[in-house]
Order: sequence, then structure tokens, then C-alpha cells
Amino acid sequence: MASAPTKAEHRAASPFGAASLDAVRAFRADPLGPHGPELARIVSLLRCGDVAGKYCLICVKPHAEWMIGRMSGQRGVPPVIDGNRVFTSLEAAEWAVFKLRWQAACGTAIDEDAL
Amino acid sequence: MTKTLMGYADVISAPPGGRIAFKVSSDDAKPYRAQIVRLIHGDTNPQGPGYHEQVVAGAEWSLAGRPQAVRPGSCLVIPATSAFSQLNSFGLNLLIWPTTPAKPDQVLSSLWAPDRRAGFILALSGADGLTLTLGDGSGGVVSVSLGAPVLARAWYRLDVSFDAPSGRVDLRQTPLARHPGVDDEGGVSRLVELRGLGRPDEPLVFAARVATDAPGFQGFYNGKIEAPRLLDAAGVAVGAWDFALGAEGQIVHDVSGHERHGRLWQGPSRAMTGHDWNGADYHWQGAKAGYGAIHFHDDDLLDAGWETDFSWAVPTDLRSGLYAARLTGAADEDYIPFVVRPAKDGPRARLLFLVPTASYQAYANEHLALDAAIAELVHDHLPVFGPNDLYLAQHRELGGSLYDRHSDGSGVFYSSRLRPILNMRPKYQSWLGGTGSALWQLNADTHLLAWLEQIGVAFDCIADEDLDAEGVEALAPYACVMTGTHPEYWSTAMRDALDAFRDRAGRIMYMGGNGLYWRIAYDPAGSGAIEVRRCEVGNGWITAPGEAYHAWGGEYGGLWRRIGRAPQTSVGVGFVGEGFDRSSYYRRLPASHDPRAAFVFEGVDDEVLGDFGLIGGGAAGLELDRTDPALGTPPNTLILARSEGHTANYLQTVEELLINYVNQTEISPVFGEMTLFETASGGAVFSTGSIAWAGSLSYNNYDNNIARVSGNVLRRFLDSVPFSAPLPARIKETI
Repeated sequence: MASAPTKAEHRAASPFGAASLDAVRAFRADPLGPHGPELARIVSLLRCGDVAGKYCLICVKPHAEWMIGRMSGQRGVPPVIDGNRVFTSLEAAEWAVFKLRWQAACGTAIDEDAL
Repeated sequence: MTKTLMGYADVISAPPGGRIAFKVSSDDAKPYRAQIVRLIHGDTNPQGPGYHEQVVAGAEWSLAGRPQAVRPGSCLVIPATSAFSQLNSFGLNLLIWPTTPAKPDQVLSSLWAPDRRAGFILALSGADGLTLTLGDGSGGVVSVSLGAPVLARAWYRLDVSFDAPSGRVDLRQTPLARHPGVDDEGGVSRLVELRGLGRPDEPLVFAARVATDAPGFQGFYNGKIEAPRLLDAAGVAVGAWDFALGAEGQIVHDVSGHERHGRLWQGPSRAMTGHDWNGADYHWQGAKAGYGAIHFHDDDLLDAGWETDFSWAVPTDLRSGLYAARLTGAADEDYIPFVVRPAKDGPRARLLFLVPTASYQAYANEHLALDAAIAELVHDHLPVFGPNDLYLAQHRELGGSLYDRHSDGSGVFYSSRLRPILNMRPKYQSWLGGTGSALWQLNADTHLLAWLEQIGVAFDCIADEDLDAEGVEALAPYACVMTGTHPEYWSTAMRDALDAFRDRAGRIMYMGGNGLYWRIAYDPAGSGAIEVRRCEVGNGWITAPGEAYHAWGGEYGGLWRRIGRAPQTSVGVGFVGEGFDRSSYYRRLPASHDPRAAFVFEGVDDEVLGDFGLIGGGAAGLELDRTDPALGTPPNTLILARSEGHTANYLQTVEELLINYVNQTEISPVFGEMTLFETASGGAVFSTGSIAWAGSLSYNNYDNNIARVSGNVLRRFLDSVPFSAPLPARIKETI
């Protein structure tokens, strides 16, 4: 019996087809969605990692400022702030995390000038 | 802001004249001020009306501040007796089902004086396995370890003895199931120098030992224990405890004839299957065997046990409502919410807002987005954590919600309010609350309270706990009962009371979604804690086979739908699906033009309702309910409006599904329904079927179609003129 693909293999193989740059553009235009089916599929796959190291947002000023955090996956170890960038909109923070995840999954950063 | 200030009250509600004790920890030992405030609008979203509270005059304190610790972990304590302290030789037999055998220092049983190091401790000691430590109180301490592996979630019989005259120690570990290649059976006999136990004048403790440097206990064990017996030198039982007896309470019965009954500490799980459960009986009450275990956890918490910092007598002329003690320190603030009930013999408003405190407790200190990888997928956005969430992430000692798992992976059955509940706060934002204001439970309910203040309708408040204790008599003085946005957890007494109120011509405004959903039981001992057993359908966890019946009261737990009282039987609609990103709107159905519903839509010409709001941008969102005749929606129910246009994130709840299929979401989209039905006694029930509804009330300075529909219904429901309930000549536009 063939073993199921690992999460990493699954991520590497499936989300980044020919239409994926269109999806990236769509995400940048509306990071909070709702997203179309192809983008939703890609976003879901990018988000499906384990808790350890998973991105989150840490609110530093309610309704006004957020920073990117990483979760520990360990009971009793709180998320920690990752980087020093302060976002003034949830949309900007979502887009920043999307780019980080894309780079981690693809090995290359999104070339925003080429979008 | 780092969280340093927090507290809780000894009661969840109090009448005028009643006294409330507030227990506070100032983690940095800095002074703080306390003031009582009436909570009006807890939502700080600048897109809405903004935060609003009213200070109660004459209720203010300046306090020194001191840290108070929370020490979770459960155990069984048998009071000290000379029969224990006189033991030198002894035997001990018990069954165990450990859940975290690799964790070091898990005490199974102890009779131990920590200051003199006298007595014995039987523990699981990581790689050393089963270990017996003996102390003679004169400096002599020895430990004997078996070194055999112990499997998680497997039953073992343990037989331990110490013969003082000879110094012989025997340990034997016998697995009840054997597996090839697993060498977990074994015994060891050893002669030690020790010749006595040094008169440990301490309680006999199971699942922990008396703490060395703090009040309470330490060395907590994770797992089940069953049928422990302590024997004297002659092999005669000094005590033998049958955990199957009295499983509805915190007392553990000695069946040796010596009446050495014990008391449980911090609420381990009772009515649990034992080594001999075989599926013949599913209910611990009346079962001949199979329910002899208690499951202990190192993070059980029923009462933080803090000292009182200040107390307050509720003024006799104070309006009923939702209040809080606001704590303000140099670098932090906290709110301790509570309900002020109306005076028992005093005047009443015609409207009662039933504060869904059971549901607040069910979500108390939830760690779902911290522990579950799927949270972001459910939410469709990155989870956002604030200072309270970060504190909860680090300080697991504050205990979990009924959605969380214990440190050993088993589900949390009990939720106490005798601890700081950092997500039951005004101003608090929750990842569960969707986009926009992101509110859930208490803070979301302030949208309703602020609207009532805005339109000037007088109302009283009681807590779920009051309703559970007093039944329909707590509702009887009112013309109308209004629910919160997500009144999800109901005891049988609460549901009986609501149904009885409705059937006595009462009017119900069900202003939320996914209500009347899970059955709970309140602690019969009156601690205010609640119990849930998530059987058949889970959320966060699911009960193990045979553990579906509450310990507290012995009722079958789980979904009211599975118990034969779906929410539809009480309010016409019941949970159908959820999403946690954006909310949507309702579109009126032809039944909204039925003359019976004319009062609902007076002054409302719009066909689309609630395409605005602070919770996800619409009135239909988060969790949605719909009618279902098969589940008990009354036949004269008018479906006034139905939500549409929900995102693909809105999925059917699992109990709606018998089988999955491709593109199910598109083929069977989720929607909520707004309904109205009259009762034979002249009462009526209006249901919104959506958690997000209340977030739309304040739009356009409270002038919008959601506020108008809500106000129209409220005015009519407060009118004592009975509803006539003619069944339609033919059922059109109804269910």
C-alpha cells in the first residue's frame, strides 16, 4: 500500500499551478476575502501546518496595531512576536504572512513587481 | 500591555443587599484601585458606538495588591488518622490507567510528612517506573524502583508492601492486557535498612502528596485509579475505597467498615469506566460493575481558593443588570463581571435578560486557537491574540474551557467560575468573533444591553445559575425573556423552566444562534461549576465509550438534539452550521407579509435585512439556526426571513450529516432563519437564528431594519394582550 503523501509533499505538489500567480494577485487585492475557489484552496494548504511555528497576529493596540507572531505548539509556551514590523491593518498583516508562507513553501519569494 | 491584574468573585449573581467577595491577584504586588461599574457596551470597535460603562457611586477601593497563585491538580484526600500514622508495615493494592507515564514524579498514593520525611510515597517516576519511597522520619529515606515500562492508557494492577521488622519491600506490576514485545510485567523484592515509617501524621492522599513548601498538594498524577486498599501488617484493610459509590459528589467512600471516607480535591473526573467495563452497561448509575475509576489530572481546577481582597454589599436601590468590578493598576486593568438580580420582593421590569453565564463558563479561558492547528482554517483569517490570550497561553494553571483538553489529552468535563476568566470580560476580543468587532459571549451580549439602554426599555437580569436553581419561578414575573447571542449550554432545569415559561403565555426573544444546544449539569454542591459530556458528537474532544453520563446528577450528556429535545422544540430553530469570517444578510420570505407578522415589520419596507453590522459586517453570521419540523419546529411557525450569500467557510454542523459528498457546501448551503410562532396559551417566540444579529443593532445610530424589527417584536412581546394562535387554514409559507 502506498503511503499517503506527507503534508510537505502535498503542499509542494498541489497549490502552485499555472493559475497560481492570478491567485496571488487576488489575495493581495483582498487579503481578508472571501476568496475564490482556487485561491481558497491555496490559502488553505498554506495554512494547514502544525501549530508549532504557525503564524498568528498579536494585537498591540486594539483595532489599530498588530504584529506577526509564531505559536509554540507547546503547552504553556505563549506565541512570540516575530520581527518588529507593526501593521496598521489586518489586511496588510495577512498579506505579509501570505508572502512568508509562500516563500517557505516555494523556496522563492513573491516578486511583487512581476505581479 | 502585560497582564498582571486579575480576579474573580465568589458569586456570579447577587440581589440588592447581597454581598459579593472579590478575590484579586496583583502579580507584580503593585497597588490597584477597584470600582463597581455597570456594563453598557463592551465593544471598543471605533466603527461602533464605542465603549460605555457607568460608575456606581460609593463603591470604590484602594488596595495594596498582592500576588495570589493558582495551584491546579486533583487528588483524593483521606483525613489523617492514628490508624494511618501508626502503620509501620503496610500493604497497598490498586489499579491504575496512567495517561502520561513518562512524566516524572506522579504520585499514585502517599502517606507522607514532608517536613520530617516520614511515611511512604508510591509514584510513577519516569524511566524508573513504579517507585516506592519510604522515610522513617529520622533521616532515613530509601526508594525502590521496579524499572519496568508502563504503557499509557493501559490497566495495571499494583501490589506493594513493606514489612518493617525485616525491611522487605515488594513491588509488583501486573498488566491486565499483555502484548508481545512489551515487558511491562514485573516485580522486585528488596531488603532495606529502614524499620518504620516514623508516624506520618498526615492524610492519606491518592494521586498526589502533601506539598513541601506550599499549602495543598504536589506530584499530581494523570490517569485513572481504581479500588485502592491500604492494609496493615496483618494484611487487614485499614481502608478500601470504592470509587463507584457516590460518583455524583466529591466524597469517596471507604467500604472497609472503618468509615474512612475521603474528599476529592479540585474535581477529578468521576463516573469513569474502570478496568472491567465491557459495554454491558452504559450508565454508571445502576451498573453492577465497570465504573470503579476516577480520572485525575494535574491541571484540574474547581476553585482557585484565593483570599478576598474586598467585598461589597449590593445597594438596595441598585438597578438589576450586568456589572463588574473594574480593577485599575499602574500598568493593567481587569474586570470581574457579575449580575445584579432584582430584589426578590421588589418591583420587576417586564423584560428579563437571561445572562447566559453557563455558556460564558463553557468557553472560559479557551485555548482553541493556541492548541488546535485548524483554528485559522475555521476562522479563514490569522488568529489574533491580545494580552489576555497571551497570559492564558503561558499560565495554563488558570484552567481550560469545556473545549480544551487536559495536559494528558483527555477532555475537560468541568468548568469553574471560581478562577479568573480572562475571556469573560468587556473590551475582550475573541478570534471566534469573526471580522470586525470580533466579540464572543459576554462582550457580544453587551450589544444587546446597550441597545436596550438606547431604546429605554427597562430590564432585569438573572444568571443561568439562578435559573437552574429556581426554575420557572425565576421567569414567572416577566412578560418576556430575552436570551443572549449564544446561549449554548443549558441544564435540564433551565430548559424545563424556559419551556414552562413559554407555555404559561410567556414571550421569548431568542436573540442569537446555536442556543439550547449542549446539555450541562451544575455542581450539586453549589460551587457554580458546570459539567459537560461531549458524547456522540464532539467539539474539541469527545467522550470515551461508556462515559456519556454526567457524574453530577447522572443524566445522559451531549447534544439536546440527541436527547430528544432539539432547540427547535423550544424556540423553533436550531443549529445548522457555522463560519467565523464574514457575516451575511437575511432576505424576507413571503411569510413576513402574513398579517400575523405585521407587527414585526412595522415601518420596515426593506426586503434585505441586516446587510451591515459590527460582527462580520452582517446580521446573519458566526453560528446559524434553522427550522426543522422533524426536530420539533412547531407547525404554526412563520419563517420570516432566511439568510443567504454566506461564504464557503460556512459549513454544516456534523450532526446534520449522515455522509459526506463532493461539493457538499455548494449543494447544501448553510443558512439561518428568522422565525415567529405563537403558543396555545397566548405567548409567542421570536428567533433570530444568528449569533451576529446583535452586532447590527447599533448601525446608523441604532436606526436600521435590524433594530426596528427587534424593537417591534420587543414592544409587542411586552404588551400583555395575548397572542391568538390560529393554525393557518392551510400551511403556506410555514414549515
